Amino acid sequence: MKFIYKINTVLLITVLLALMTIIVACTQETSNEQSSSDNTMDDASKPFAGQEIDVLLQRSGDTEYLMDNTDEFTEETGIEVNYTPIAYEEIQERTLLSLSSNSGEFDVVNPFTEMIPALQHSGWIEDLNKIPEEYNVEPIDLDQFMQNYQDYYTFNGETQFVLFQPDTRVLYYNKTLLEEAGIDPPTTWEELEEAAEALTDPDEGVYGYATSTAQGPWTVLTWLPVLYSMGENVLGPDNLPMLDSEAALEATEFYTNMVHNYSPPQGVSMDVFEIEPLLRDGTIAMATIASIVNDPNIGMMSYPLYDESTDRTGSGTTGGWGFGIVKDSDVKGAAYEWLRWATSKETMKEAALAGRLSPGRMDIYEEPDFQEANPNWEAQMEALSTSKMYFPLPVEPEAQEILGTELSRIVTEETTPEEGLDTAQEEILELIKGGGYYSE
Amino acid sequence: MKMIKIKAGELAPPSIKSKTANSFIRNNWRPIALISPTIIYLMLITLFPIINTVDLSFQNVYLTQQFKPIEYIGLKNYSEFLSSREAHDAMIKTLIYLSGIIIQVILGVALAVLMNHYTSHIKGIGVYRVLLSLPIFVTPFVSGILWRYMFGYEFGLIYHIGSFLGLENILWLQSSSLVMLTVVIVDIWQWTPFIFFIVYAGLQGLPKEPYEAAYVDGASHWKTFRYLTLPMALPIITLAAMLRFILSFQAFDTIWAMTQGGPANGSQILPVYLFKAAFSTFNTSYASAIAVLILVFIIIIGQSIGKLLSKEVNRQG
Repeated sequence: MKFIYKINTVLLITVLLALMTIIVACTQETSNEQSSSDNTMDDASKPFAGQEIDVLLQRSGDTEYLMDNTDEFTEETGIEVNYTPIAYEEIQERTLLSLSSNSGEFDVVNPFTEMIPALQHSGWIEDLNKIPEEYNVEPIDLDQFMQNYQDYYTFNGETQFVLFQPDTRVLYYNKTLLEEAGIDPPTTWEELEEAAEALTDPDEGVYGYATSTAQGPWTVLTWLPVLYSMGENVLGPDNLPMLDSEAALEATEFYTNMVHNYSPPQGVSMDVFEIEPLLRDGTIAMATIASIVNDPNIGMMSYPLYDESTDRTGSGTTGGWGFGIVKDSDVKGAAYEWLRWATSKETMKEAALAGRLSPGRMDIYEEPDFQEANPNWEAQMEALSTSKMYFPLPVEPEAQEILGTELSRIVTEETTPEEGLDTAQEEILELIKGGGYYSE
Repeated sequence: MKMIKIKAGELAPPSIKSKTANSFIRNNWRPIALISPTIIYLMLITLFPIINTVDLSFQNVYLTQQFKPIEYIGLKNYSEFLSSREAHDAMIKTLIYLSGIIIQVILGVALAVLMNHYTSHIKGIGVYRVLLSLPIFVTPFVSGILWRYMFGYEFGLIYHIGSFLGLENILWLQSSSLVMLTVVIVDIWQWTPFIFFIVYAGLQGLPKEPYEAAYVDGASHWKTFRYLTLPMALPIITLAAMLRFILSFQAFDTIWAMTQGGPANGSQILPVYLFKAAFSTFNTSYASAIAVLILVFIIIIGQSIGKLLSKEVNRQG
């Protein structure tokens, strides 16, 4: 009897709980509808009021500014924004896992440039040209952004991303060290080597040159400006890799010799975060690293040319970050409004001033307060706007891994430049053929 | 209290024909019913991923190339792994890395025996135990960053200690031939306490009588250890070593934070190689094949150690 009583009690509680759930759900729905209809009646200028967007972004000074100042955007539009800031090291995995699983987790993503081909070929990102008409929103003026990036962001006629925070690899130099030695910033390879030789003094703990050689993408990205400065490319016509060329070999030998002869002993495996403080404190006189250093005593320029007569193919690779809207998002209009706000001149300028001083809009570089904050603005704008993607194929991650490993093996003298480049050529060619991007 | 009897046999699945199974279920239906959700849940969260991983390993799935049709390619990923120069290199690096476990076991057992022997002699023994346990509580990624700076050239503590001892210009993290030694040193620092704690707990539970008899017979410390402690503690030492062995295949964070497998793949052990395959080159199927091979390797070694252990225990009676 007691058992049956217990069963009855459990059943009663279950039914009551189910009823409560239904009532709460219905009330919430009614309240949402009410709120939505109130918003529509109260303010027709906020067509997306009450909608929520989820933004995945890379954590940096620039994006911190966005996150800290979203309240004004929400006040203006009624759109709520949820941010998921991720460290640089993790954003690739997080973005690709989220998009490939169709999780619907994010409406806006913030990939770095090397991820773009994979995202474009997978068809996960919405065409930004379609949204304004479809959702009756004001279009973003894409002409204001660096066109080399925007061209790269366009695939099959679809503009899929808006540039936010670009970077590339440039030559930085410690102004004090160069001035004291009476050396002008080098403009050719010969001048670079002469300057590095003159400035290297291990007994005094000063080294003429360093570059990011840590295994991974860093080695590739700092090797590219050397190759580009010879007027050469990684891929030739029809996507044929050209790593077994004389030019690639010469670039690699120069790259390696600069590290072996003029870098500190740990120079065979250093990253930008190790080099930057040494550049500032005068341990290293010149360095090829990511364009993220902001210091009045540090000058910036594109990597010196092979010789004065060479036309470079690009300053370096197109690094940095853009925003795109996920195709599966059900709040694309709201996401586009946020994108327009985040990439507007005002917002982007303030974000850049709070962050890396490296905005994607050209018009910000003309602003006096920006120029005052960033003494290298001219060189930076020139380097960024002439940067070039080196491997615009979806197999870029694999190719970068192969090339990065071989360059690391070359710099640490595990292999010779000839052997390392031949291996990279062979493996990358196989990769490209396997992907169907080249056929003999 | 009046008990309500329910005919348990009515709940038994009709498919079960065996009389023994029937009677077992009839007699134990309550515990079986209570435990079955957990078993089903565990099967789902362990078996499903394993089956999925095995299935993926026979395909050509790339995370970044989902626009391509998925095909079954047989054993191609496995043969690629077995013929890859980089994979061979990673296997050798893994063996070097695993050799660190021997040192961890020796140090961990030595510490445990000493601590166990001197428990009553040392004041504040608890403080020493806490100090010894600290490395385990450091998050592996944080420990990687910490050691990266400690081994850092010119500014690192280890560099300065080396200079003090006359060992200058040692590129702990920048030399592809030395970096694996650095990784093993860090691993020993972090995981020796793990062995210590397991063995120490085991030693605390050993019977006192044999030791008293040995003391009366005038056995030396070494003989007591060799002929009493070691045989009695062998199962627990083997268990600790086996756990450490299995956990070693999860080693990733520390190495990634220190070197990312470099320079020149100098510290690329199998878990790092697997991670790169999965998340640097996005070759999901190849990474799955590596994961399956690692799993098989762990099972074989684990089973072998388990058999050896039970033989040894049986031998000792």
